[in-house]
Amino acid sequence: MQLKKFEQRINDLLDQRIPLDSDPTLRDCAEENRQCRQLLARYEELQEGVQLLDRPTPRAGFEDRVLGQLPGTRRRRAVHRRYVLVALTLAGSVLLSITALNSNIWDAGNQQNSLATGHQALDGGVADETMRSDVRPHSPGVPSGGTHADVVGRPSPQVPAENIDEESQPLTPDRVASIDSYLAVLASIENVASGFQLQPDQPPEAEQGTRSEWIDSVTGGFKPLAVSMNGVLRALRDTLPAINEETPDLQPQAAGAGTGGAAVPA
Amino acid sequence: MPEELRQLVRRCLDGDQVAMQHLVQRYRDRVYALCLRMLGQREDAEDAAQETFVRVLRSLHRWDSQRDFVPWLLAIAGNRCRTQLAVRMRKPAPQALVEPVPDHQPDMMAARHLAEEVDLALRNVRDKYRQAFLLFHQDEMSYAEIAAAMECPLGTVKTWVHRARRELIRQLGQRGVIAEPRYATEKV
Repeated sequence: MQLKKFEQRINDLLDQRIPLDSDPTLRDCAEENRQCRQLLARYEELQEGVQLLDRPTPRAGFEDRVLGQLPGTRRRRAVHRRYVLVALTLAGSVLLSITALNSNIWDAGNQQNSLATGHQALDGGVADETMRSDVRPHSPGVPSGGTHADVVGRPSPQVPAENIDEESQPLTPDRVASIDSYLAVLASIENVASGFQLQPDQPPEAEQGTRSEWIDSVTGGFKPLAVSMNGVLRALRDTLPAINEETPDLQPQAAGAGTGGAAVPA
Repeated sequence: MPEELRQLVRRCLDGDQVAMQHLVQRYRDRVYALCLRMLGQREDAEDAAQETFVRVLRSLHRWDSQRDFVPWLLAIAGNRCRTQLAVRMRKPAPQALVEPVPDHQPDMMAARHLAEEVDLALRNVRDKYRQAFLLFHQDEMSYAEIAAAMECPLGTVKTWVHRARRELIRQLGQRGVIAEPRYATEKV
């Protein structure tokens, strides 16, 4: 048998997946001819080598990496990320609004207290209880026909507290003053709600109160932020270690224990 | 094609991610092995295998359910590998490192050595010959299936596989890997 035909026969057997050593014709030729023998041996080695080829496996997490490359999966993840972002933004906004409202109302309350204290000092005392109760909304003394402007425009002479009975008395000048403070609170809340509307540069003539009141009304919308920031900065100052050469042990700065720089007030 | 696979494919088409995961898990080793033999580097092989599955899952609706799934899958894998090889031709990559042999038993070492030599020799065979050879010998696909997968006549595939064998034999002989003939005859 020619060598070429011998090789063709080997290939035919391999194509049919028949073991080479099972064919007597090949065996006989290999026994008689050295070249055929060598060729058959090489094909057998090759077959053995191919069978010994291992079946490698990819790294762990292959399926996840494949699914991660699919556009649908990517889009779903992007949508999920967007939802989380929107939810966080909304939560932050709500939190900020609540903080702003609380601080504003608290500031307005303090302002009323200080005004009341001032009136008390000037006029021989106006009862705190009266002032506080007048700040409440829906105060029964407010006339139903009058507008806010009418009420605000009136002068506000002070009357001793013992003369005031908020449930039965008609509209009096001291009650007008308390309504005025109530309206100030309302205005500051409206400021927050309407996105901190710009205030005029100069105090309007209608509001000829003290300059501090006017500043409060102008900056009322920003106060909550300032209060919050102050709180955060104070907390940071209390907790962060001082980073300078004189305090190498990185102890938190206590009140009065330092270099004279950032002592936290008690 | 088994009904189970048909259902799995249907679920994948419905967007079931668990089914997709099962499909990938089922065929990943075959695809990865082919890619590794074709490309010779693990990272490249993994990239090609991933691309293969991504393409398969994306174009699953185009697959004709009357045809076998595996030849179609491996045909896509082969195409990805040939594309990567074409890219590599333009941009030569560093040589793959031969992994150390962990076993010191002589028989195991010899077997492993032979497998490594075949693996190395395969890398020097033409891409189409190599793909046809691997699909036939490693994945045990029939010539008809390979012809369908590689979109060429059956006779051409046969020729490619025969040429691949001959080329491998030649290389193994040149490297001195082939042992002395087994049929040591007494009556020469």
